[in-house]
Amino acid sequence: MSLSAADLTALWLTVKLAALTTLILIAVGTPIAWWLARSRSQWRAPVAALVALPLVLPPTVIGFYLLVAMGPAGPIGWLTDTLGFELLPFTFTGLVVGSVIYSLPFVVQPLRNAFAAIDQELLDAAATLGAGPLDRFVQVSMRLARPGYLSAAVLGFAHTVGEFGVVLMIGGSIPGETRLVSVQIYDHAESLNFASAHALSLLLIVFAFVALTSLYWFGPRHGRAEVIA
Amino acid sequence: MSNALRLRVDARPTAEHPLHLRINSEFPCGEVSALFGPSGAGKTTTLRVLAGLEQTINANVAFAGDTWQSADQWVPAHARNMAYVFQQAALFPHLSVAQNLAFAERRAIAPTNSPATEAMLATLSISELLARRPADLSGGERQRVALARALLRRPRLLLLDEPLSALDDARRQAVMHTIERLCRDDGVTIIYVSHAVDEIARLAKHIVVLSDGQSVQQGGWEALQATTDAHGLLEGGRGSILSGTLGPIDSAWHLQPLQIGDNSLWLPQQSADAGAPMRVRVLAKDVSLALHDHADTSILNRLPARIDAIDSDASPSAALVTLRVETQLLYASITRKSLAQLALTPGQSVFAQIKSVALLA
Repeated sequence: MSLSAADLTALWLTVKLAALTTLILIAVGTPIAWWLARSRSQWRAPVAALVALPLVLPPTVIGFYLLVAMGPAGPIGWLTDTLGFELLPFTFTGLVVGSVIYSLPFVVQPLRNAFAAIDQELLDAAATLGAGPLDRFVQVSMRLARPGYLSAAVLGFAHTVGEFGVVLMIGGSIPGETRLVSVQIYDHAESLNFASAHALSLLLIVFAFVALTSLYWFGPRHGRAEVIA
Repeated sequence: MSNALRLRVDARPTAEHPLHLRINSEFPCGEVSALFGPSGAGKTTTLRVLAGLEQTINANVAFAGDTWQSADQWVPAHARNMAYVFQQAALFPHLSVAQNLAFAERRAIAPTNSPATEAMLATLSISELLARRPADLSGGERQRVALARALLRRPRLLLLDEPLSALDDARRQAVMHTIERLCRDDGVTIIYVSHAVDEIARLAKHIVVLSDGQSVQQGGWEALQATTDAHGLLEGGRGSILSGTLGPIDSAWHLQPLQIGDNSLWLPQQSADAGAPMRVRVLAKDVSLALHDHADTSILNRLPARIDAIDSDASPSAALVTLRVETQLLYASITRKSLAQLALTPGQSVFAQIKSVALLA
């Protein structure tokens, strides 16, 4: 059971995509999760639903609309065109955009739970000790939400590694550009190259198991439900 | 008056704050003022309004001439020259005790050291707790750290929500002593919420009594004790405060007199020196009356007094007699039978026999 050069390229591309997606998601997901956890706005329910949509929609639906939106006639396509960038479908950048949307709930939900669990009195105490809003957020909220950040990072990364439908719709299978491990396995199976498909599949199973084990081991003591998001 | 903390609230009840808060008070700067009242009277909410933690409550707050809250002005909590000690301590669980203190110190308003604050930190003796996490502290230790943390902000206004409730008595006395120093030496203004009568009677120069969200009474302790409403709230029932100065120790009997005018009230030997001011609380039920000064009794403290008023409707069997010792008020609760037998009338001179006193300061 050995990995070919193409397999290794796919693996490296997958890790790169998952890492980049996770970083972006932590940055984007933090304000969204904070707002969802703390706001009393009537917009909270629809926004929460919007964030959670990728959980229930078939990945092909997300992929299809992303493809349309990023295409030359779509709004994202218009934007990239106007700004002088290349069109996003079938590019690595396109995959990053798709992954960020697809894995958003897996990052937002653990962060939201972690922020919601913070005792308001601790933030009040920080305020009475002279900490302004940003100071309170960074020094108290984010630090108390650290287990939530761990969950969010692991889930965001693992879920991005595991995506297939969205990738196939908007990325296709360009080696070194959009051919991720999941696509590589599909290609191996299509061409009846089962040994290679086994090798990569087993690798993903071991990775997923280790990731989830670390989550349960080091993750938040309570609110395990957030793992299911 | 700019040298005061002014508070005016008239907040209609809402789902979030079901209490109709109506307070119009002025707390003198550089003194301890107490917020007093039964549970649910709005004491903590009032403190939170003063701290700037309740933006939705319509209020006017001004401290020493600076407007903190009004219809068109809002100074957030972190920008107010103030620190707050929460009832549940509210220590940061992700930080050690030392880091909790450093959190406040880094954001201190005035970086300079002051002797009274140092004395308080020493009294709180938290040096042995520094490496520990809040989760590993007892309730009393947590309160000590919370108090120290608030002090390290070095504020001009200190809001204390039952700060000593979990401390043992010796430490409570010591901390109260340093709280007094904080006002006297550093001019810190303190608003103090407590259920403990001895703490309030000892510390507070100004008391606001809250009931159902309203300030029903305010003034000095002496003014308040003449009114009945406040007394229903006090533990042990009606009582009075006698103040005087300590006299020289009688070393033969380990007693020390509290000089009230020309009279002496004998107390167990105190740690304070002669000349120190001292206040004691005397419950009405611990005072009996005699027409003559009986030397043949074990009751040591017999003070000449004059009857000011008699309320014989206090209960079916008891009557409340209001006395004056010199100019100070003293209450005696006696049976109506005794009242009739001794034929007591207002204006009459009697001897008040005091069975026990509670030391306040």
